Amino acid sequence: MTFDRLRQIVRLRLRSLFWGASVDHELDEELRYHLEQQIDANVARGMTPEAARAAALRALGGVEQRKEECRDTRGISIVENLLRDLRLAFRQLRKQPGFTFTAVASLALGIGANTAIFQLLNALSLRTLPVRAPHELVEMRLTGDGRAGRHTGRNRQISLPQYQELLARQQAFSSMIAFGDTRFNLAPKGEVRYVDGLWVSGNFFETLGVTPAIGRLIGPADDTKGCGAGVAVISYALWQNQFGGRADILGQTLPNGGTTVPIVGVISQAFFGVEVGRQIGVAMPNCASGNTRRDHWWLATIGRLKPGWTRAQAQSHLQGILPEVQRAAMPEFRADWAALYEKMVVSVVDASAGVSPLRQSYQRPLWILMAVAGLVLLIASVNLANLLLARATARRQEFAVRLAIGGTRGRILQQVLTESLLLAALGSIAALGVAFVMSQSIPPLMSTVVDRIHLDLSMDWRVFGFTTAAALVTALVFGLAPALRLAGTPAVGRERSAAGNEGAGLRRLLVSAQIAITLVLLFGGLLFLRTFRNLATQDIGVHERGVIVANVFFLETAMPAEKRIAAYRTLDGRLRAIPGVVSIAEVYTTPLGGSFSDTDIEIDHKFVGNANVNRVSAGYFTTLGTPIVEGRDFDARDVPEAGRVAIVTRSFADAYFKGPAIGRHFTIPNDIQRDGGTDYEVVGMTADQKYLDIRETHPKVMFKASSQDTAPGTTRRYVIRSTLDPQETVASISAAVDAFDPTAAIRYALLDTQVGEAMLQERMMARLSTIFGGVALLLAIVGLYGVVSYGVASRRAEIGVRVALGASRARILSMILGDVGRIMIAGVAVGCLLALGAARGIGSLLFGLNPDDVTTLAVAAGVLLLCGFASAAWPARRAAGIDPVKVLRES
Amino acid sequence: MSRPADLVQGTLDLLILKMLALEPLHGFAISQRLKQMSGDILQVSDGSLYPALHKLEQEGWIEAEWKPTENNRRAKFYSLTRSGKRQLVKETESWARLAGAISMLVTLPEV
Repeated sequence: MTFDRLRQIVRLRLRSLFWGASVDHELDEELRYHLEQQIDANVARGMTPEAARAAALRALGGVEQRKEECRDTRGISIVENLLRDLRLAFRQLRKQPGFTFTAVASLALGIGANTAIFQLLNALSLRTLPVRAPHELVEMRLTGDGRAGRHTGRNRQISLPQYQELLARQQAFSSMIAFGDTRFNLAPKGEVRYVDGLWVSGNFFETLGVTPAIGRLIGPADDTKGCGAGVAVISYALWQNQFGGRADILGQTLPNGGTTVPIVGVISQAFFGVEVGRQIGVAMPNCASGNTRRDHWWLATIGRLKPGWTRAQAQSHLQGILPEVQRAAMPEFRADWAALYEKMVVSVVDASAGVSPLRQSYQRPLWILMAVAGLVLLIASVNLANLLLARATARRQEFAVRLAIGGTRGRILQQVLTESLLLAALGSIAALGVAFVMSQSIPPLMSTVVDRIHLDLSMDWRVFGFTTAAALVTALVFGLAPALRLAGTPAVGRERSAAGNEGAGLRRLLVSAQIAITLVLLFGGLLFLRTFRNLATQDIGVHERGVIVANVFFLETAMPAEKRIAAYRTLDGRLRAIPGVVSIAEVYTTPLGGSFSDTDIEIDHKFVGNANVNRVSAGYFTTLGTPIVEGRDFDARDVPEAGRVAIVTRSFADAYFKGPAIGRHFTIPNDIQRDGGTDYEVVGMTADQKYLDIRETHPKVMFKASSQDTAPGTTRRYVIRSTLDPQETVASISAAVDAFDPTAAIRYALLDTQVGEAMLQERMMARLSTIFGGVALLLAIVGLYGVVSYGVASRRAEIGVRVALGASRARILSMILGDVGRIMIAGVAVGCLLALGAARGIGSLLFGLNPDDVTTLAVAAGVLLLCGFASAAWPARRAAGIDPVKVLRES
Repeated sequence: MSRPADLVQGTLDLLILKMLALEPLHGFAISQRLKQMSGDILQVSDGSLYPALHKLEQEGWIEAEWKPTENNRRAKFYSLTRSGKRQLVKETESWARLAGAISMLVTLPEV
């Protein structure tokens, strides 16, 4: 077929499809012309006008028939058939609102859940940063030991001196940016109001191709040594929400640590930062951070690859220059540390979707949830397949007639598949709504009080593509079996459609499969639920309820170092006097508070291991409710002039002293930059307390006495146990601090909230997987019920005969339930194998139990069997109650 | 679709193509021409002409254009396309083969 011909055909087909009216009109005109010419010719031959007309019409053989024939030759296209089938399918679905509702609702749930999880994955991992040419961006990471010192920020990789050395030597990138996440306090005084912020290198915005909404962004000229407090740019959202979108924002300043910083511009609306899940509010140049120490690890780097460079080339190039960079930027390390530091390893990873610790911790759970949601959808479509199979059996008569009067099997297949597609389409439209609600509700599950997670969950082409694909696959899964069955209908006359229970075998097989998959999901849900419970009931060694954590930040200027010890003593006293306060203590870090400090422990000049270090005041253990099991608490004896004393946890004592600990000594070596160390005498031993992770089993912690601290800092953290309402206590604390120093800033937290937030991921997994497991159970039960009651209905005659011949009610009951039992046992048996196999993949996310936990599996199977029999009981009773006389009359 | 019984299948298409190869014509003219040329031996009913024309158009062998006639009325003129010309050659050949075969068969001496 030549191209021209093809084009003409396509044009004509489209014309007759879309402009049917004008085609008809042309046809009219053409035939009219013929008639008139013929009449004229006839008249010319001497006929009367009437006779001429009649003859012409006769010759043509009926204008309408001819028109119909012409239309036929124009071909009824596939599209036209499809439209016809769609109309028919719509009518069919309208006639059975119950069926339609069940089908659309279960599809909406199934596809919606999948879309919601996919939306999260998309936002977290797939969507590229809203910057210029994101695919050229790569992140440089360092691995290996050797970064001893100060660590701040979520994406800490290198120090500022390291960045400068890298910048001077690297060839792989056309430009390379460095940034460190931080928080800026927007409140000039009193309780703090944080926004997420970013320290950025001068080339940051230029390299990413981000533009200002108004004013200008930070440029290389802003990031120079000695820039002082620097300048600030703010996000579009902050500009709108905090500053009312006012145009005079450019003259304003932001408070920052006692000074103010001028706002020079607003970032374009689309840019949220380079870390997925975070929305920056403020950005300031790196030079203003004052973080210039060689042993301060706080920056992450992203480079834009030069044309022609691959990630692998960049990686080997950077590894090549690394030793020089490391030597040039080395902190004053001891020799052993310096060796480690030089031996670090570079990896270069894709950064087109930005950097994200959130992605690292949630990607795997989300993929697991995706698989779970996929299985739920599978169960839902098996239900639909069953419903449609039942309908198919009922509609065999109709299709047999259609075949007999000339319908082709292809057309019937097409029509049945059209119905499935229509259902899937309706289901997926509803699914988008379900997904919208579901996906919005998940980020709060990942957020803590302080750290809000912002994920851009808008629908993009990937989400729509995913939903469409899910709907199509689903439609094929549930539509094909019934369609093939129907298309195989023999035409009328060749076989009387007899047994109503045809296809029952396939339907029972499908239900067994559903039960197997449901067991997998129930098992998984229970595993996560028990993991969460195991964590929630873990003893972290404190009574966290009713404890307020108050962080008070003083300005360097308001609280000079030499006045601090005395001033803090005054403040401590005033806080202790607040009504309702039972006990109060000052502390360096709180249990599961997110920050910690780690040290080497030496005994008799020999390295024995590591321990967490905390520094607490007297009364700390009383306030938190941790018993001191041996020895004493810190007290008035522990002054700076006295020998250093320590309290240790039981696990510390067990690990390093292997006997009575009180009176024993250990040494904390000076940091890695100098030799020597400080000797501590153990004066007390407490029950274990956990600081890092609830999953820790033997937390080795040592507590220094804050009363021996000669140089307290500008931040003071209190733990306060109060008998009054926290709100009331917090107000009193604020008032007391304000009276003490009006320039101080305060941040509050509740210890129990803080502890709960340490289990965010597990809580999310427990919740979502249990919900999915429940939905799966519901769907499987509905499926089982449907098959059993349909089976009972189609066997009425048989059961009637059985009863007439003397079968008892119990016998009928046991016959039906035995049948159900066989379906379920088969499903549960296969399900157990599948569940144990699948659970191996989630072993690392569990706590306190193994992925092959037999008890959990037994509980899941028990629940499933119980619900299954309960759902079958109703149709079984109906079967047992069949009255043979009635049945015989019916037939 | 009904076809005149006395026309071998596909012959009408061949005749129409042949006629349009000479000049573009409208439906009525084709019908007149057919009757004249075949001397009323071929009974082509007007009724079967138009579906045939539309089919040929759908196949892409002929194309249609509305043009004024000699007596200044608008009529739909059909003309042969390039692929129609090729089709005419092909159908003429196969017709010749068929006609030859049949005439050979029917003229076999009956001994």
